[in-house]
Amino acid sequence: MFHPKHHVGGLRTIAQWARGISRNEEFGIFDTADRLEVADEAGNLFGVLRGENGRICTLGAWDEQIAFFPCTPANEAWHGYPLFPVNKGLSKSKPPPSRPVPLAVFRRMTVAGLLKEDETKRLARGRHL
Amino acid sequence: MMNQISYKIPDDDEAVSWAGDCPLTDWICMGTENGRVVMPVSQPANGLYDLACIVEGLGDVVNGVAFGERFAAVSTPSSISFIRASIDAPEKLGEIVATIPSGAFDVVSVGRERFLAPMGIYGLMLASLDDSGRVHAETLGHGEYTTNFYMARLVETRSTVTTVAVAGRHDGLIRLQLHEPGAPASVGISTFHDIDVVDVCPFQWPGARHAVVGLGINGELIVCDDLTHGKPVAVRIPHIAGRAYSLRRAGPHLVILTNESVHVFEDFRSAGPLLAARKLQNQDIRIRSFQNPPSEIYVAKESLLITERDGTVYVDDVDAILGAEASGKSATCSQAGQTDDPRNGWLNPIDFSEVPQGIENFARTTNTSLNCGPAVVA
Repeated sequence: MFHPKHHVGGLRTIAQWARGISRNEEFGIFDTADRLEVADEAGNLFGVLRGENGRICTLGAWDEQIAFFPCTPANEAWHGYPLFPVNKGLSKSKPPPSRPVPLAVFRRMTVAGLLKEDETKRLARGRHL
Repeated sequence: MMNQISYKIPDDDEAVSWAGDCPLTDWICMGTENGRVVMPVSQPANGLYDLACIVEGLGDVVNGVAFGERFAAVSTPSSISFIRASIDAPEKLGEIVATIPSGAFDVVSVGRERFLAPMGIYGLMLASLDDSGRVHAETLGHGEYTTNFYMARLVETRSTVTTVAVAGRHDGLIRLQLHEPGAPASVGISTFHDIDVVDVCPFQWPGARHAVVGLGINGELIVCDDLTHGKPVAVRIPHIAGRAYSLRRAGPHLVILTNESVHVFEDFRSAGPLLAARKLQNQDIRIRSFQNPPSEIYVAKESLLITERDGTVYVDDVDAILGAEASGKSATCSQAGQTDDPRNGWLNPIDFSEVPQGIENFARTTNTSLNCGPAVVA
């Protein structure tokens, strides 16, 4: 599903797909994540996009490079958005805090061939590619 | 100059994810992907050495460690932890006094027991610890999702003013000035057209009090000889190839990591002011490039370049790397061979009038003050 709230140009308070990411590319990230089962324990899917130049693309308006597709009940459409690489600051959530992208998901991406080892190392630290 | 030293974490499943200075041993320490901070406590003899654990159980990938006098801060993408780190109380070394569930990209020390952690679009966390280890933390920013605070480096602490440089991705190069506790922090944001500022480091050269170098993701160098009042110069040096990751000062040199190479801009202490004045000439530039780069570079003890490859951490004196290469010996730099790229060594002159991504990229500097979010006491 192409959710409009994540495609509002100029709106910065909700995760936004980068302008250069097409609908087909967004759907392709989801299809790949679904096909390769790049998911966390809750069934949420995670994906990346490698460009023609071989580099991992920037997906979000805030330079995010990982896409997140929250698990959706059966018969409901999925949607997704770029995931910021660090946990939200001073949130009220109780410890232990969770990573935005679980390490197991990164391992799955590496095994599935979506990321190279060095790329995984950088992204797992929150760094850019 | 020292010979290369290497360390390997005994557990094959545990890789180093951060490295830097360790005031406890006056040597280096390392953070790991398994949420530990360890330090070598003996020099390697026949490849053997002892590793002491400073703290463990942080539960995430360590991406930054900063030491105060008695406490240290450790950042991960999911939390910032504060630990006791005083050699005067070894029985309490590594005791976690507080953990705040705020992920950060890095953390730097900005005072005796004061730490600053860039949290991206969620702001900057400024945390202070009292003698008992009680943490008072607050978030500085213009409001969430306004500015992307990515990498921060301490420039200077003088009197009651602490000056910090922050790489703000597409928001530009950020000058942050912290005053006495409770006083609003002031910022100046220098923005550029189409430059994604991914790292920053302070530099020192004669006549410049607050010199800073920034790094754009396409290899642009942003040079400012006075972060507080100067106008930055941005220039793209085409010989710095690849997607830029990190920028470090190692002695008088500037070390740049891209996805393709480790580039060492030799004697940037001399070249920097010329670049800032737009007077850089052919003879001022000498860049050595080493292929097969690591995923990250670190500098400790002013001039030791630390890299990690295949689970082993290599510590090299940057001058030894350059000297080995210049003398025709095998360059070390994490065992990366010198590239045969003909772009090495002397480069063509930079003609600023012909550099489309030159100073014209500078857009403006906006001065303002940061709001202070609700305080958290942990």
